[in-house]
Amino acid sequence: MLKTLKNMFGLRKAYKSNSILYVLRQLPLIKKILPPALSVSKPLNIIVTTLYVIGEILNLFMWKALYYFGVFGYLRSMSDTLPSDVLFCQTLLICTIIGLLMNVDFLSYKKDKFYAINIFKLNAKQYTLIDLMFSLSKIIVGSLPIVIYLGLSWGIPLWFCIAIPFCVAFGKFIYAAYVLVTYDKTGVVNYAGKSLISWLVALLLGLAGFVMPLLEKGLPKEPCMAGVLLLLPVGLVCAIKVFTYKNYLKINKSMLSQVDLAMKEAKKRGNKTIEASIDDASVTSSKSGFEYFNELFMKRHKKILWKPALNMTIVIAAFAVIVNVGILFVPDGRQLIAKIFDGMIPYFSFIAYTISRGEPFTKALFMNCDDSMLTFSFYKKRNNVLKLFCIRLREIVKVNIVPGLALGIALGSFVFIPGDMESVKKGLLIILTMTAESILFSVHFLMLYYLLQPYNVNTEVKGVYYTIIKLGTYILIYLLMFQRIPIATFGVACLVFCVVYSAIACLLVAMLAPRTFKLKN
Amino acid sequence: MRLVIEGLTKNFDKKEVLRGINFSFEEGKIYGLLGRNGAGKTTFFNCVNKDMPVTGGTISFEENGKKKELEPDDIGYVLSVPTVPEFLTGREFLKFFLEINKERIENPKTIDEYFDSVSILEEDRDKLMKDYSHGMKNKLQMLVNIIANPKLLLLDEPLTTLDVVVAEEMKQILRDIKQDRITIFSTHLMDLAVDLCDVIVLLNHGELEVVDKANLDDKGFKERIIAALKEEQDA
Repeated sequence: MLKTLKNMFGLRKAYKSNSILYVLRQLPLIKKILPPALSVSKPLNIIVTTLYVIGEILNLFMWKALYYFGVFGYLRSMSDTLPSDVLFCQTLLICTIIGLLMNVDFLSYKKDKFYAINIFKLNAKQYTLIDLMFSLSKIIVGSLPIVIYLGLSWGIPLWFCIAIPFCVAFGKFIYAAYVLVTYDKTGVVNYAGKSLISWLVALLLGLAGFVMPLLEKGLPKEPCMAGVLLLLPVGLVCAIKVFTYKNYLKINKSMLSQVDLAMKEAKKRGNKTIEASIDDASVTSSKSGFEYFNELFMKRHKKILWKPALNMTIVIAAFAVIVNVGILFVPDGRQLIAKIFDGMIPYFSFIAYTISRGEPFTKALFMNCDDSMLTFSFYKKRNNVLKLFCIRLREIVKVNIVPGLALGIALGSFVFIPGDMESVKKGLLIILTMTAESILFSVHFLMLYYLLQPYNVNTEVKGVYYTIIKLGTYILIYLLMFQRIPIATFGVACLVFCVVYSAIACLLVAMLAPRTFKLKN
Repeated sequence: MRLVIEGLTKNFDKKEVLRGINFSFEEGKIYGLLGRNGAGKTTFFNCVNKDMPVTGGTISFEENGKKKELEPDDIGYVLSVPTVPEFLTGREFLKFFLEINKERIENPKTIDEYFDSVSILEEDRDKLMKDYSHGMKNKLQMLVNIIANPKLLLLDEPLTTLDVVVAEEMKQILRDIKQDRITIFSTHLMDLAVDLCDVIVLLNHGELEVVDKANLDDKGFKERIIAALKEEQDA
């Protein structure tokens, strides 16, 4: 057991350290001072190990803090009258159940696990159990100080605050036991977050957890506390199954091959979809030069560029119609829905980001066009690069603005109250904001593509800066979801930001793209 | 006109791939750049084509005693794996290419005349290039590089994966267009280099070295090249 523990940490550290080294090797300034044989440099190993430990500690507390302060804090801001302790217990119960269905680190796919069991032939049972115990320990250690701080300030007794992380951790055994039992019966590994039913239940619970504070409704506190505490004994019983189970090698191999195959298939399918998306040689264009080139590209990639954007527009329109018709049957429905959406516009920035076709657009551009065209010298000439950038920017804006505008109109209609001029102004501002955001995300992705050209010949993303910026953007917009900002403030700030950002982005492209837009070796 | 390489070095970390190359390539000749796999042939081409920054040295044209920097229009680069935009038909690609480059193409021909010159059949000209065979893509890639009429044509193992018939057609095209330009043809196939090229250059220890063809029968010549390449391996 001790040997497996040592090997597991050794392997995990090696895997993560090498990832850190790889990232360091991509950073221009740091790259120059690094020795070529990185792994044999002792001082560098100390730095990387330190970075690894800092990363693990951050990982331990940061996500937990984000989760508790973000979710609980956001829901607190939604309700004016619900007592804090009631809101805390209700949210805790709902989130814990969602976590049990969606976020159990048991038999989940990890690269180091794949290497350990499939290649290094470590003891699968010991490895899985140590891995599980390690992740449960992280839950307890990472949550405890945050829950105590948050719970006490929300009027929760200390003994319950201390019990919460243990209940959550032991609750994970319930899903783990379920996975093992169903595997023995069906031969299929139902790792957390895989089944559609889990997603549906989690979605419904999430919706309930969100809507109830809005309606100032709360579940009784004591049953919620009892529900959380119940996880402890039930989890203990299930732990017996988990610790006495024998087929860990078989189930791990099934899961690893199942996921590995699914990942390979998804990647292959993704690339094939782009390749196969070219169709209809009969399509023509009456334009000339780069406009001709672009028009043929757009017309022959309708399936992957326009179709999803139009589908999304239909979904948004249907949602808008359902909500607007639905509130006719609820007393004061329009006022209620206007109140809900009044502070929620930042949340829809995240939706606008996720429906943006920026990345699929640049991926198709690279895979079916620039991958080949960048080998021709005329294509890389400054004027030609910039001319095509402008044409492409126009096209990607055209694609993204349709669902963006639809989202704006839908949200605008939700805050509209007949006879209230203020609500009309708000509605118009929302429409403008969502439209501007769709333009912003178009500019953002195309600028990143031209300045960092992240793809290699296999259309894998290899640019570290691209990944960092993309992740940073995602986190920023994700955090924005939890902010409750009045429409007027957010709308104006957003419009100003969009204009400034787009101007700077275009300037950067004009200055740098002729040098940066090239094939990666 | 000459392509003059002076002190060209390229390092990857501490590894010296090109070690201060001094060489000049002359107009009207096909140079066969021979080297083992991994010798640095593609790196050399990428440096000349400015796809990769050099560690040191200069690359320039010399005409009537005057030196001039290489411009993108001066260089044609044909890769071993043909790369053409697959969402276009062959005809659309040529139309686009001719429109973009109309100012620098002297005596342009019709699109069909260009297709005829590389034996691309009429029935294939309006097909999407994603349905082209490897050989057809290669011919088209070569064709646009010929139309652009670059002063320097870099060919990175372009015939290695072609069938015998297409390879012979391509060789003939290269012989036909070699006047008025410098052609550098990299390969690790010795027979191909001996058959096609006027001058054989070995990329050896990160340096270029001419192998003299004079006064040697084919067998002796090949043995000399192999000896040089073996020396590279032993070093």
